[in-house]
Amino acid sequence: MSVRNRIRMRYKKRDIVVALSLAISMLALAMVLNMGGLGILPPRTLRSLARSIVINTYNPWNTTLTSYSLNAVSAIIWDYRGIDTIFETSVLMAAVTGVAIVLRESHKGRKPGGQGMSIIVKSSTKIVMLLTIIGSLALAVHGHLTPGGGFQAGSAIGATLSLVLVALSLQFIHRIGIDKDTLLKIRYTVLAMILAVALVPLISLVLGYSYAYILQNQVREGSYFSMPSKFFTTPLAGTVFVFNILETITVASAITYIVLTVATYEGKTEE
Amino acid sequence: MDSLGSSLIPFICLMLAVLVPLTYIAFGKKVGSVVVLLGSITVLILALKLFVTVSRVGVIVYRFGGFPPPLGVVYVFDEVNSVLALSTSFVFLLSILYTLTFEGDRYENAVYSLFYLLMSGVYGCLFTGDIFNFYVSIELVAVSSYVLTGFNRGKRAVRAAIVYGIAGTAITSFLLLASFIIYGSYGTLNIADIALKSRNTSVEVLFSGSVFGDIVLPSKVTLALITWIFLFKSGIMPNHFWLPEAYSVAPLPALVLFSASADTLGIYGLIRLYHLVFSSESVIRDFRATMLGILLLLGTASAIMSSMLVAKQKSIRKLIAYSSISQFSLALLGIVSGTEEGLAGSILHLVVNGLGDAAVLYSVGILKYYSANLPQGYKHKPSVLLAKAVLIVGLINLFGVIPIIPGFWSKALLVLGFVKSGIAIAAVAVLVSAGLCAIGYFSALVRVLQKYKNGSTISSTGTKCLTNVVAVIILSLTLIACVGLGISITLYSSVRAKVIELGYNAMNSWRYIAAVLP
Amino acid sequence: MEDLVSIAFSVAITTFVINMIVGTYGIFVKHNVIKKILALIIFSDSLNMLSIAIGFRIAEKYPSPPILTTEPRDPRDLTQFADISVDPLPQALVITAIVIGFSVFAFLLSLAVLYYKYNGTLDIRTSLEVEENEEGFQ
Repeated sequence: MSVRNRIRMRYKKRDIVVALSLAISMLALAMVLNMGGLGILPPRTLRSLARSIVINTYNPWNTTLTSYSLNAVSAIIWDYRGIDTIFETSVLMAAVTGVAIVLRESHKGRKPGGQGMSIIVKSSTKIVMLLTIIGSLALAVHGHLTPGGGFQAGSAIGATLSLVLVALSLQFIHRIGIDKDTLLKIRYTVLAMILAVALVPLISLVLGYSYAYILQNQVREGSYFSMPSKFFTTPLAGTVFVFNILETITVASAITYIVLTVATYEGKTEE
Repeated sequence: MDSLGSSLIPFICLMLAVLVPLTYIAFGKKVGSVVVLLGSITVLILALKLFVTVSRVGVIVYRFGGFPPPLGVVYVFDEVNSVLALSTSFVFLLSILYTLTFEGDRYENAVYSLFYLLMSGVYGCLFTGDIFNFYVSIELVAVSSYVLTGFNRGKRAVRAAIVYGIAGTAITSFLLLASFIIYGSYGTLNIADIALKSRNTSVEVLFSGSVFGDIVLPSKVTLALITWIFLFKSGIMPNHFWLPEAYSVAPLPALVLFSASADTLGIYGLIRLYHLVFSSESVIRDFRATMLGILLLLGTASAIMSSMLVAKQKSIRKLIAYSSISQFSLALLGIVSGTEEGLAGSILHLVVNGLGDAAVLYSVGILKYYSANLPQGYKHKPSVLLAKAVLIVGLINLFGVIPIIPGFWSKALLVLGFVKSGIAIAAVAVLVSAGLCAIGYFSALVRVLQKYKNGSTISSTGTKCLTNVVAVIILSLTLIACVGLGISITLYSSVRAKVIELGYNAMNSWRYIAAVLP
Repeated sequence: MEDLVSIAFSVAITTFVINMIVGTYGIFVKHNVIKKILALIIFSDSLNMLSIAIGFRIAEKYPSPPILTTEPRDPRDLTQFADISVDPLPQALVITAIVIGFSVFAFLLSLAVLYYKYNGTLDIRTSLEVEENEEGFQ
């Protein structure tokens, strides 16, 4: 039997096993959902943990548990479960490093051939770019007040820049001062800033002002340290606001970096 | 206050992962290397401090952001994870030293960044007391492992990385599914909270209340799903397809880190799953017993099959790959035994396997370096003799039948645990796999000594003084760790009692729950 | 009205589960790397949708997003809000999962580019054939 046939046979045998195990696991999942494993779906009440969070997200009457953010989702992302999000941003950084390593001979100073699309497409893309960037900045700045937040805003900016790459050519991107090395530097610096903001409360501990926790935002039980909760009369939610803005920059630079790397990669089929 | 420094370990790793590329860009290679080295030494010191503190105080809890447990994320430090963190940090320091000295020219600064990302994921997984945070940390470990697997590129590396990446991502997605099922039914994500509710369904916890749905069926499904995920992560036999391929293409230091830290997480997770979250007192104890029976079969089969493959291997990387699978399978059997000795044996076995793999791979790497860079008559150089000694100690450690080496004690504890719980088949599996592996180990030893007998025949450049010093440091640290651990276990009964206490603490889940939810 | 919501909800959940089955099937059975990655994306997205659905609820009149529209003046505002708000926790967790998924897929796709460069095809079996042939010669 030839090597090819042997490999095909091996894959065929495996497919049967896969099909059987799939059937079993999905049957189990369906039973869980159906037989009240997760309560009656959809439920009429909130789970208690969610209720505690919803009540405490902006609660001036219980200052040791609140984060002064009107948006409960942002409060969870950056305050109640902030460490998850910091690790998640690191995953993004690992992936960016990975793309840079895997496609490492992607050209740095290659003169792009294309001049972009027609003038109509170019002008309309410029308008769309301006509007989207303004919109996503609003998303980022109001992340703790309205739906939105750092990742959403950053991915919108990243998507806009890929649109610009297609419609207006690589030259345009270089002309407005974006290239791969700068993006990588921005990305590292801003991630370092995110980590620094997470560790800022420890300064109060070192100075002997009061006990403080990593990733602390507002006053907590046994600690007087607090980030600013209001900007004049607008709620600011302390670190949530800062993190949202920094996350916007990291995500936007990461997405643009990945798109630029893949776009400038010269794929020859043989080495 | 005690736990602040320890909670900083993952943060320091993340910070260095970012700072290392920045210093390389801003200040050049020399300053960058110093930063890399200092970082790993700091991590080792903090892990040592954690180990000392935990053995004095017991379980410590750190609340991130100051939120009380079910509401926020907590890190929980106890004997089990502090031991694993200490051994991991030790191997990590060795890897950094080795990479800086012997392979620093071949890789860019990105490799250090990836090492630190991998390590922060590993520490996150070890310390975390929250199931979703565990998912995020394991995803960080996974992504950096895929990148390190594909680091050298070339046909085989890319294939290995793709196979590992696609299967690994699919399987960690199932961990996400499991954690959502848990949230839906238990109404909480905190591990101690889940453990408490799985024993007593009517309990009311502050903030998270009581269970939300009928927990029996979801618990069964998640137990099965998470077991499968951890078996994949540690490469136990039917799920091992990615491991030998990844091990045969990854850079050497990354390979050591995989076998000493990243791939032990599966076994660590299973210890937590079967002896903390769904323990023998939980509502699904019958189903748990069935799962343990399946694990016994899988572990035995996997240990024997992979030992057979060890005997057949020609290359040292594949040898280490299959030997790791067989040692992880033995550690899995220790979990099944459910006795103090068995669990202590399985934790010690993870440590021993990491040390042994590091000893073997680094001594072979150093021998290879010397034989390529020194003239003919190099074999009487002290560091070369030391490297050979470390190679022999490492292989004996993995083989594990000579009492002065820790490998003996971990296997002895495992067998003791099996005898106590009456699982004769597992005890037999330990002996058979040791015998079968021995063939592979000793033929590898002979082959390596034969291969690097002569120096380079081409004009040799010689070696730098610093390189020799670092080689001696790496080798003697490994030697001291292996032999020191073995001798102290052999001579002092208090150390032995401490090791067995480790197993007792791993099973003592009420202490864990009481520390997290006062 | 509530019956309608329940029926629509069940249909949605069934769809997500079917999508997950399709995705898992594609991951393990398809041989093309890009198809595998696409199946992975289908799987993880339907998983995310399922999780959001777990956080859904029925409330008096309409359920509201977990965002306060005005600053609360009184503690009673908060309990009223908690009576109609949907569960914010799955939404927050899903954002984390989406970012992780995005990063993994970006990396895997760049690996697929490299795989194509080396092998001239995207079939995962091809490189195995090459490998086994090479081993046969030795």
